Amino acid sequence: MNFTKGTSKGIVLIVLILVLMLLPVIFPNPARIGMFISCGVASILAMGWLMILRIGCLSLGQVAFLAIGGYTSALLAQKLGVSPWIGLLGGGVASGLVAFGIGVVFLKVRGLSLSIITFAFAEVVRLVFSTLGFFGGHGGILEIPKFNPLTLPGWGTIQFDSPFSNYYILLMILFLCGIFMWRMDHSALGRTFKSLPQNEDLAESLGVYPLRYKVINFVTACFFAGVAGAFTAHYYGCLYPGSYSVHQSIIVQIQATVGGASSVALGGLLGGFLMVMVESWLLNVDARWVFIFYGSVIIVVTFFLPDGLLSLPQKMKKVLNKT
Amino acid sequence: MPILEIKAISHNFKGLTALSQIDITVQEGEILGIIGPNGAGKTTLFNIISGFLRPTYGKILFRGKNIVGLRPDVIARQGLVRSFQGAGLFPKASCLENLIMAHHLYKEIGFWKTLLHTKSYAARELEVKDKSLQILETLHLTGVKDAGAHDIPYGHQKMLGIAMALATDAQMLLLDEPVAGMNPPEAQAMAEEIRRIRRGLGKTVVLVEHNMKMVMGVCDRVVVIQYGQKIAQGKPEEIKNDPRVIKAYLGTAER
Repeated sequence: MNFTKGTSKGIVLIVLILVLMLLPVIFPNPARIGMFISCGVASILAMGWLMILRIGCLSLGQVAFLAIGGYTSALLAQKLGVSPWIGLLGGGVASGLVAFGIGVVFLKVRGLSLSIITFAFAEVVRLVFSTLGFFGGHGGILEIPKFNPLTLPGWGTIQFDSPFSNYYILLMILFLCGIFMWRMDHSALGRTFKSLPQNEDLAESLGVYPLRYKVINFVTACFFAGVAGAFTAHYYGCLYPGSYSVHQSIIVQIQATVGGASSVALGGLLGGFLMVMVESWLLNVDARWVFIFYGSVIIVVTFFLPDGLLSLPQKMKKVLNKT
Repeated sequence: MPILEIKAISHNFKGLTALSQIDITVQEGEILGIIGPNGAGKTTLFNIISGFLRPTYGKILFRGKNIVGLRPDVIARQGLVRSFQGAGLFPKASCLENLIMAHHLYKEIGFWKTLLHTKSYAARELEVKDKSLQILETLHLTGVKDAGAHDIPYGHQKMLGIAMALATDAQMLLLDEPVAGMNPPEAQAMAEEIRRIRRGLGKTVVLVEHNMKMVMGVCDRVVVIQYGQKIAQGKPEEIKNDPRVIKAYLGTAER
């Protein structure tokens, strides 16, 4: 029984990876590929959001870490001439460090107050970027260097000037993030994360130092948001502080909730891809529908499918068994 | 040899005195009961010993070292673990998962080893699972191992809570009302379990309880607290006949 269950899971995983790798080959239209890139970025953010949910925090500030990663990498490249490839790591580390700083101070706070703090923090970050001249002010940063070509011995030089090639950079980040989140979620670490919102006092009395685990969780999620932010900066070639509004953080939350919290990696992937695809389809029909769509989706999902789309198969089984 | 020495512990909640000058010495391997009317300060005392509350004044020595001011998890690591009033479980996790969580301290493994799923990590996970299953078997809970922790009968939940405290391998257990809300047979089983914890495993137990029959039957010594002050201590028989204790519980006849 267990064996077949394990192999079928493996097959699903391989199919998933193949589909993700072949998407730009099947749909070669650059605009389509651009959309898939947005899907991937959304997935990384949603995974981070779900990871933070494990410790009982509804983060309303994920987009701030996207911004920190983006600005760090962009400025490193423009002012110091650092390669965007190293900038990816730099953006992640910057986000992670900031997450560590605010995590150590604020993750002691529980529940709704913590959500408000993340929300306020995200606004402060956005205002700092849009006010200080060093960060380009309201106009943001333009002409950020693109990913420079890589020369692989024996393979020749690979150019990264098209959405097609950039998609594979993002896919690498997405895979890394997904594997990391999966491993974390399905391990002793994940177990400890989940125990905290259930009964933090009990966890403490069993020898868990909650702050340590909350910080590990928060920093990991924000690190990947930062890497994704650095990627978007170099891919689009520009940064604009207005695109990091709280509205975006709420969209991350809706995408993650639609995906489902039963698995951080799969929920984030499903929510990110599906929601961005529907969104871009709606944009073609009538842009006004997008907000109505997000608003109604969150109501419908919270009410009928609180555990997200991942819980749909189980729910269906239950309904079928009853009839 | 005393394992725990509580010295002159006092605590004020915004000017309201909850505990004043409490001195209690616990000998290694004994079962000590703390009783007292509601609001006497028993749970406050537990919260102070286990590090959840910092006392206004006083010292607590655990195996000769001061533990006042240490975090709860650090105190737990040193071998002093408490249980909670009510069931004190992780409600959304299964019974088995609850016990596995309780083994957290047991050979904790590093961040990268966990993420990379190294052999030592996998071996430890298997070991912890086996140990947990064994404990469930001794509690006769194997049949409900996958049931949600809050879906099993209340008596079993409390038993599971104590088993979790035991699973930490602590030398000393603080049990906050272990038989509250239990029916007589369940309370009887719990009393036997507590005796077994002492006799079979050689642990020291301090318990707070309202069930007098259980306290008098299980404890070697009893301390009585009223209005935050220790009013009596001694063997159960002495406490039963102590006029101060009778007065505290029943009051005196008006003349």
